[in-house]
Amino acid sequence: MTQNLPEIPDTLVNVDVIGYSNFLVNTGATGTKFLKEIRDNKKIMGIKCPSCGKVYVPPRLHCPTCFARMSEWVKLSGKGSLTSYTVVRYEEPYLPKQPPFAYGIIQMDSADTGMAHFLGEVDLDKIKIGMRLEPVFKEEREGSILDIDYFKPSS
Amino acid sequence: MTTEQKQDPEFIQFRYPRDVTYHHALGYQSKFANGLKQGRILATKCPVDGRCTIPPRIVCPMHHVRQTEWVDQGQRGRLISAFKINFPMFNSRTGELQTWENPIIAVELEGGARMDGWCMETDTSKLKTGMLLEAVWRPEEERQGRADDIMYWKPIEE
Repeated sequence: MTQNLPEIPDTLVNVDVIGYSNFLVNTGATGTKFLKEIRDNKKIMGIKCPSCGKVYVPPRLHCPTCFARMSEWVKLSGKGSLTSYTVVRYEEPYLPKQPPFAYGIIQMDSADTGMAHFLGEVDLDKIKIGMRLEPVFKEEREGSILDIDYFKPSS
Repeated sequence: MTTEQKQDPEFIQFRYPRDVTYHHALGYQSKFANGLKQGRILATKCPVDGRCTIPPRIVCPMHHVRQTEWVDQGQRGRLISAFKINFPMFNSRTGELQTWENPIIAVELEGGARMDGWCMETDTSKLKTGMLLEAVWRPEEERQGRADDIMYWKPIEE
């Protein structure tokens, strides 16, 4: 069984590795309420930790700092300040928008964490850290974070 | 400005379908793939201790020396271990839940290398470590140089 086998070609081979995922994402009670408020009332809600008082948006069930279970919802104005951003200028599969477009992290007023979303109605070369932003909601909403179309500069 | 959380009968779920097909350049392992297309199992052999490895490696992971010799591993092997998945799992090629009737096995080939595969025998009570197995190949025109060109390993009488 130890003979050499020169007859097997060394031709380089490329294979298509076929993969398909179809995850069912369950947003849970906390995520559902957050998305429902956006969908039904165009409201962005945060959740407040009873131990340290931090307000999280997007909300989560437990505070990652003190592990307290959170149940106190805080209605936010939706307005906030830009803390970070990036401009996507190339195209690849599954981008939710046609490039070029900008992602930003928006620190909402009365909240202690930032939320990532798109920036719109803004010149991509004139985006500034600290600029004031407000949400623009889609007309037809379906219970998704993309029910917020984007954040635009606040007047 | 605050509201209390109440029990809500609606839970939002959404599907996240993604096609993650990609092109994989096999490089050094191309010879292994070409062998599979011809219905043969090749392994690389370490020049230090003669250990054969599948999938083939350009460098022996034990002795860190280049492996240039390819060895035909034959069509038969002996069962090392077997397990069966008794609950549905996602098929990564379709994204759908699927049950798997055939046990997944490890085989030590006649040439000394070890590899994984599917066992044709679905009744695990009939599987014994050390039993002789033979590769069952896809028809030649269907082989793509992939490990699943070997459809199953079939137990055979000694």
